[in-house]
Amino acid sequence: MNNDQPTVMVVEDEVLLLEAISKKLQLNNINVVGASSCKQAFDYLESLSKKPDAIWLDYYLGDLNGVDFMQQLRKNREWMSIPVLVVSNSASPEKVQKMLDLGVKKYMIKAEHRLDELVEEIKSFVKEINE
Amino acid sequence: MFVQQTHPLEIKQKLAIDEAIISSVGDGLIITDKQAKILLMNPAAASMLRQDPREVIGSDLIETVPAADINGNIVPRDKRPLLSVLSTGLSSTNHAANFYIRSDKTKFPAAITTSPIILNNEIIGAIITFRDITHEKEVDRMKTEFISLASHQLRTPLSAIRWFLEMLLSGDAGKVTEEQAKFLKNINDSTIRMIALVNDLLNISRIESGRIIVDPKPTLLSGLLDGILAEVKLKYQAKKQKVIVSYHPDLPKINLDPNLIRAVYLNLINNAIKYSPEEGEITIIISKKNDEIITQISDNGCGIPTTEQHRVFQKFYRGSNIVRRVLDGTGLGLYLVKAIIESSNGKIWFKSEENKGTTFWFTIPIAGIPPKRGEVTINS
Repeated sequence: MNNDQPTVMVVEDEVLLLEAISKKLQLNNINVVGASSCKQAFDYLESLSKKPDAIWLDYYLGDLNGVDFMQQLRKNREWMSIPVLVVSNSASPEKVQKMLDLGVKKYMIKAEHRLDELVEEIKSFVKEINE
Repeated sequence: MFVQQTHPLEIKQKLAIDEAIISSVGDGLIITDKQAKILLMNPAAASMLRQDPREVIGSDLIETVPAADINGNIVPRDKRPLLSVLSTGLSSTNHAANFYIRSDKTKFPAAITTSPIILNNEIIGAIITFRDITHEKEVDRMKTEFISLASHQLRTPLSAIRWFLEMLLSGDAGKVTEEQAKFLKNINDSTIRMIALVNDLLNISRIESGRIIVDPKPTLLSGLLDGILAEVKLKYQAKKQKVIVSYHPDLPKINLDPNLIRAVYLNLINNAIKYSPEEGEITIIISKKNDEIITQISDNGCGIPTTEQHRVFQKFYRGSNIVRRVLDGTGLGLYLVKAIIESSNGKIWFKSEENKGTTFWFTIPIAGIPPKRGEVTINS
């Protein structure tokens, strides 16, 4: 892991998607911490010496969903400030509103976007934080 | 002239048989006089409506058996088909979902046919037959739900294909040869088309299930359209097409769901761009007439063959003249457009000539559209 580079945590339970996202982020000089479940994500958050600069989150995860994830994230003061981008397959207005209320910065639909568009989005979060 | 005498007993017997036939019909059956007063309600109708078949005789059908629309609103007297059947003499079958309300105020979806009873060229009453379609509705709901679930499931593998292709094409896994790039681009185009198909299917299942939210906001159609035109600018500029726009000078703001009407404009304008030649011309006019706003979208494109024009709004219809030439179409756009316009209390129609062009018109009532609660929006 290169310490000069920003780090993004990707929480996605589809292995192939996780692989694609990680690869593209790395090509954009971003360190990646990949988690395929909520539990794994929080294990990493607790053990990482430096918290990630942003989180890329899928809504439906094997063990829990995005709402559970955000509720748990908000319990920790340090984690609360990490910007979260949700990239999900479904976006009913109710779900989106709930996630935005829980502090999510943006909610996007997976298949609608090119990977590089989504990467640009998360880069802008990281940039905002570091400015 | 010799007239055959019928024995009174025989008449009685015949009447009894007629009554037995009516009583035994499994569908609900109600007969009214010219004033919509109930003359007869068969046991099946009485049981479905939880009415006493003897007590209802002579009472007004419209008051005794209220009907509700899909949103649960009571259908006003002058909108009940019975009255028009009694005055015009033309039968009516409900196509939209209608509910009958039982004596205990519960309701059920019903398929209803109302026909006039004509004797000596005069309308003397009406006969209404109906049946409870709760089960059919349930099957329909399950079908819609399945499409919605299946479409969502398809999005995950489609995203994986799309994203890995994107990386291959941008050389993230090493340089590809010219021919490999061409093949990859073909796969990519097909994937994007499949994603569009899944999105259209999802939108249709949302509209058909009635779960869609209608959230009207005061909207200026010209403003909405300007935004859409800015979005598609690259597309029509790439084909060197000219877009001419003309708005009525004082368009009022209309209470409509901008998300839904946006989908209508996008579909119609994208079609115009897609099916018009290079350097073609697209004209968009928004005008005001009486209590409606009319949008007209014309192109000088390939048009729709006359023999197929009755199929234009059918699901998966694509013109035989374009189906092999223009590959990126799902055949679901106009079906969706029509469903949206009709749910917004508007009308849509078109005129088209092959190789000359097509014009679509649609109306939106100036009075706007009522809000509707639901669970989903379009494109989510």
